[in-house]
Amino acid sequence: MDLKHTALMKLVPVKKRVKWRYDGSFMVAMSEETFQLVLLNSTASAIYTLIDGKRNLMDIAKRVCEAYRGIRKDRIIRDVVRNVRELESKSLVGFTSRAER
Amino acid sequence: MALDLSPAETQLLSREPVVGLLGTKQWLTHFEHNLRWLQQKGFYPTEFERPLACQLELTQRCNLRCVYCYNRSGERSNKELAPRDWVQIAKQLVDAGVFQCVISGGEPLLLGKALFAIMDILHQAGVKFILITNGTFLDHRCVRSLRKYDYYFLQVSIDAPNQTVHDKIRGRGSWQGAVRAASLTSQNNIPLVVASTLTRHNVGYLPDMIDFAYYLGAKRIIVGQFSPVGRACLNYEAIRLSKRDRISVDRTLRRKMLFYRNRMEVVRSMDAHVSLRHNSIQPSSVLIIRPNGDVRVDCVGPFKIGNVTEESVMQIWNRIGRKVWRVPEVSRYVYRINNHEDFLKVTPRPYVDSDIDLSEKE
Repeated sequence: MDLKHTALMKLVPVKKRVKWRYDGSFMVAMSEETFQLVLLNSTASAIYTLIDGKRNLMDIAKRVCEAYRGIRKDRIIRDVVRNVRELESKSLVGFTSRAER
Repeated sequence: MALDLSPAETQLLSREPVVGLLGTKQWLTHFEHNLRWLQQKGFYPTEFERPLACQLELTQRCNLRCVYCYNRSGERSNKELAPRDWVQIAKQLVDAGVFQCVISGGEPLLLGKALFAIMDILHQAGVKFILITNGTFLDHRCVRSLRKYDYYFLQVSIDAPNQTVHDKIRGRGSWQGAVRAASLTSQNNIPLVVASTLTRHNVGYLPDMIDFAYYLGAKRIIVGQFSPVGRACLNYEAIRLSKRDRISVDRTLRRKMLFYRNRMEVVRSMDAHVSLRHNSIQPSSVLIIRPNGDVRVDCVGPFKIGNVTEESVMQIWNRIGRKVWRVPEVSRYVYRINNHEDFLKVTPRPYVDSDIDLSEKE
């Protein structure tokens, strides 16, 4: 399914309260809601750092495309959506339809 | 890619083996295979640059003398660290960026107000706690002071639903205190976990014990065999479970897990030999600091890797802590422990003989 033009891509991910630190190329993050520790590899942590409450999923995917040239755009979009959804399931991010000012 | 890490008591990537579906050995092999695959693909580190969690055994003092106590709490010990030393250690742990801290002893509440000074430092840095207590000193005033911290859980040890059996294992008068402490904890909305250690004396009371934990408001009951180290090693013949007992425990747990599903977690703790092997497979992530400042990476493994009065926490971590499971003496010991009884046969016996001292290892 082509996600590019769906309403989903307009959703704006927002970071929740999280304690985190880098450990080598990994990020270790702990949600303040669940206290669960989650380990993010370099790609997941790069996506996480792009979440600023202003960019929607499409903006984030565009930024990732710039960093990973040569990889098909639709694949990157799918990966970004899957990754942010995963971060949501770990209570590290939430979604809003409107960007924070 | 995001991976779950579990709280400190079971360490990283931990998943309890499903009782009866997969033998322990197969489960460990499967676990190791998966972890190595993730590491090869770059999805999981082979070493952590800083510890993720720590366990502070704040004192060796204890008002009880449980027959199976793994670290022989309550017996005389050499010099203990003073509360001001623990405050310094807490600051070092904050600088190291730990996420989780297990507070235990001995009986940690014997520290009185000094305990709160130590926890305050960690709490202000966002560290989450597991507090392990026998409950004797947990009164209204104490629980009010403890309420402000963030917990995975506060664990009270209760070994039987009746006073006679519990007191026989843990010491006269201990049951009433433990039950009061458990009730106060759940009434004050601190997540309560009841830990019930099985010996020959209480194994027959397990079904009632699980019901009792639910009645006390526990979110989880952790049931398991004692670790055959320390005082349990010395009392082994008097407390050990028969094969029949162990089968009956597995059946009871399976039944109760289903019965309490979505109401209370019924969890079987890993046997000590499985836990040791399980920890050794993963990159080291936890430091255990003993009352005299000795540092370990595992509760049951007899390895001392340094002392916080001689080096800082991060110096110990960088020198050996992060790669301790790859030290030949350590891996040789781990691979000689294949079942529960091996702890009694292989030297050194943890908390009975002197530890393997790795303080000078690079």
